[in-house]
Amino acid sequence: MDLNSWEIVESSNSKKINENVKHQNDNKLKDDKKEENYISHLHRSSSNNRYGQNVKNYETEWRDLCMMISTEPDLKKLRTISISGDLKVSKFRSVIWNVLLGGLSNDPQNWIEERKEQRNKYRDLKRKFILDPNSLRIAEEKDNPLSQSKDSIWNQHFCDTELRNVIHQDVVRTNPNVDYYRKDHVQEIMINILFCYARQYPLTCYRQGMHEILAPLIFVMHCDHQSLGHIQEETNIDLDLILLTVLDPIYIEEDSYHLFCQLMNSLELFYRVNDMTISESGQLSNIPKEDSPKKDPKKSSEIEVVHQLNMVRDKIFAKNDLHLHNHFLKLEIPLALFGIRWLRLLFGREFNLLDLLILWDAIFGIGDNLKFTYYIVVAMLTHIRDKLLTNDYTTCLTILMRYPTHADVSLIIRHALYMCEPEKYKLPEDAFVFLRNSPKQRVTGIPRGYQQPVVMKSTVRSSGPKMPSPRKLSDDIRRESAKINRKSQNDDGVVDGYLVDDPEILKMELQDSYSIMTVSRIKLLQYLSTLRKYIPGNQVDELHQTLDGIEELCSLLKPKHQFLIDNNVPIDDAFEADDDEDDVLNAPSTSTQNYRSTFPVTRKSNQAPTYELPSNRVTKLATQLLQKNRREVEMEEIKSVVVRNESLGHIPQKNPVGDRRNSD
Amino acid sequence: MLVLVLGDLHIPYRSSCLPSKFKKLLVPGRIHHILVTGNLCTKESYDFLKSLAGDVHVVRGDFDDNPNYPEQKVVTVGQFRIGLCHGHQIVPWGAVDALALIQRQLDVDILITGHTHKFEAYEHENKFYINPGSATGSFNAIDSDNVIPSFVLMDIQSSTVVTYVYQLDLQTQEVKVERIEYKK
Repeated sequence: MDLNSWEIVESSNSKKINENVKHQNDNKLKDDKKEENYISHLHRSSSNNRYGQNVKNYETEWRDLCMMISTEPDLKKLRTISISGDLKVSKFRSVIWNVLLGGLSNDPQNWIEERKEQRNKYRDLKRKFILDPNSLRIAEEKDNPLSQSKDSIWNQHFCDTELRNVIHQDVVRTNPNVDYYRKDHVQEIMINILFCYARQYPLTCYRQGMHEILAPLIFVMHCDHQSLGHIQEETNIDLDLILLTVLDPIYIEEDSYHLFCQLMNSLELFYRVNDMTISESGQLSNIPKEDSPKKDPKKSSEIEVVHQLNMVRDKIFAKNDLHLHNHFLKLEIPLALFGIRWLRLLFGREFNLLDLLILWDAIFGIGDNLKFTYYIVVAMLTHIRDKLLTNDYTTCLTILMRYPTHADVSLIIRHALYMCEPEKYKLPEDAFVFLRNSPKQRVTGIPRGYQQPVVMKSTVRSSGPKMPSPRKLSDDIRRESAKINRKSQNDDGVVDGYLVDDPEILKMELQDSYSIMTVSRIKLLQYLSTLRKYIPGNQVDELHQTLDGIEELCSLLKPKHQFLIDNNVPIDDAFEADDDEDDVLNAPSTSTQNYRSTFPVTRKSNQAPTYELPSNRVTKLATQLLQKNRREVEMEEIKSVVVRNESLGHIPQKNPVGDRRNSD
Repeated sequence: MLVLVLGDLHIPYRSSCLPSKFKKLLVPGRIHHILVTGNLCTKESYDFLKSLAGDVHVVRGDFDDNPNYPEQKVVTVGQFRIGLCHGHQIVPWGAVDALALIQRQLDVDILITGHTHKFEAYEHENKFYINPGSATGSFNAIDSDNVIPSFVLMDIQSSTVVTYVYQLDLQTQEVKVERIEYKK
């Protein structure tokens, strides 16, 4: 049921009752006319039953609840019910929440007294904090409207007005979809409650988000009052006095305030900001500009909730979903980015109102200073892990900022329960969404690293947004090698009459690609060392980042499973940079040509690769083929790299020699 | 409803700025209306007042740069009709009978005038007269010494006006506040 329909259901509830009553009357008329009509009689009795049934059920539920609370001091059963989500249909949710949060004691006999006390307390607070300077004006002869002194009632009045305006701004925007919050008197109640809370607890004051905590509380109160009202309409019998007192609709403001305070006792932690300085006379600490300038910017970020979230990340998140945890680390997404809002609003924005109530049932049911919220955070992340794992930074953030609305709240609760108390609850089967096998199993000659966007991402990020070259380069290599492999694959299929899918052939392919990887890695490292040699240390960062990027690529090219390759790949001697250094120095403008011309020549002249041929016939053939291929591969690749460099214009432009010249 | 009444700033011709003690008191967000008896002189002074409250009413003084300000103005706040006039037109300057004439002309409950640079607030024939003096303490044509910077704040509640008079003691640089009540 979504938010919109809730109102409808609510109003239709009362309508239904009216219809019920009407139905009764109709039946009675019928009875008068045809007293002997058996069907009608049945009808009447059944509807009479239904008529009384509501009241009876209501009373039974209440009595059971009282029993349950008074007999069990640790509220074990109540907690279980609350956690299991069975409060959905309860007509005493607000009472149960009150008991769970410690707002009402465990003995229903004392509730009348407690309520009375709480209500008086709130009324006193209201009288104390909501001032009217005009009524007190005569008593305060020395006061004046422009006074800035702390004792001035006028000054207090203006600060109050400002705070109320801040609260008002937020309150009028609470849950725009729910009509209940649009009503003026509801908004007035909310403003009063939040204002009194801010004045009562000046250290916490009012901070944005509290209104979203209060809103569901008032709503639950209201619903309970409504259902009591319906029952009262149906019957003349006096209900339990405790029940009538506890759920007296007149005191919605007082009772909501109390419940809100109870909840904030635990939630206050999330709102606390350590180095927040309270401005003069404890006013308006919620407005940043009123704060004294922060001396230590590092310290200012050290707010309590971030600390808690870091703990969640290390203790719960990493333990339960390491993969996603690492993904977040790689993307540099701190939990605080969205977690602060999740926790401060107790997930109010992430779920619709009805789901939220169920979630809160569970949170309050576990109790223990709302520690369950931490597990919920992790469960929520895990719930959308398939979306998170496959996406990049921006998309991930978008998903996290607008959490999918159709999330299954009971699944999240069950998963969180499992994480919270694994010995008591079992892992729901569909808690983890496992990813489809990614194509990395396929042998396409592409090193594994390429298929992890994470790695690529980090490369690009480290090299800065202006430097696409490492990524582009690697893409090119990949495309190149893929092309080569396609070619060799075709050849392989023909060579020995083996099937294309034959494991042996696959193995050969694998070897082939590993060889390519190894060779390209070695070559790249060589070129890199040459480049490094010519680039002076004080070069621009971009250049060094590029080099680092290349080096990173090299490490990616390292085959993961060395055992597959049983031939030794020859290692070229380091390219003698001295050979052409003079040439380069003398003719810096032609250095690119030098690179292109010298590489293949040097390699050809110096190298006679020796491969150990394996005894197996198939592999032997394959390796022969491979050897033949390799020449082409290396030639082609080196050429392509050099040409690419030229076309990209990055590396040749930053010609080390030329730069050195300039710096000289 | 808080109404600030001030005038005869004469910035920059006779004074450089408002006294700093006054500036500290005049913060945005408290005052609802501002009535100015004129001689703001420059637009900058007007802009400053506009930053304190959105509703600023000005009449023209004999040294105002802006010729478009009206000579007289009547503003209604709560149950009160308030007449506003600089006062250089009313001769003899600041004379009770002459002011009462204007009061009758405008048919107002409270008449506010300036020009004499001397604070005054009194009831005359059941009408209330206020002269907020000069907020900067600028000299005037008659008495060039001893001008005490002052302004007036009216708190209007239905049929009662509580007038707070803010005066700067030139010796101690302290702000003195006095309270005068007027009932319709």
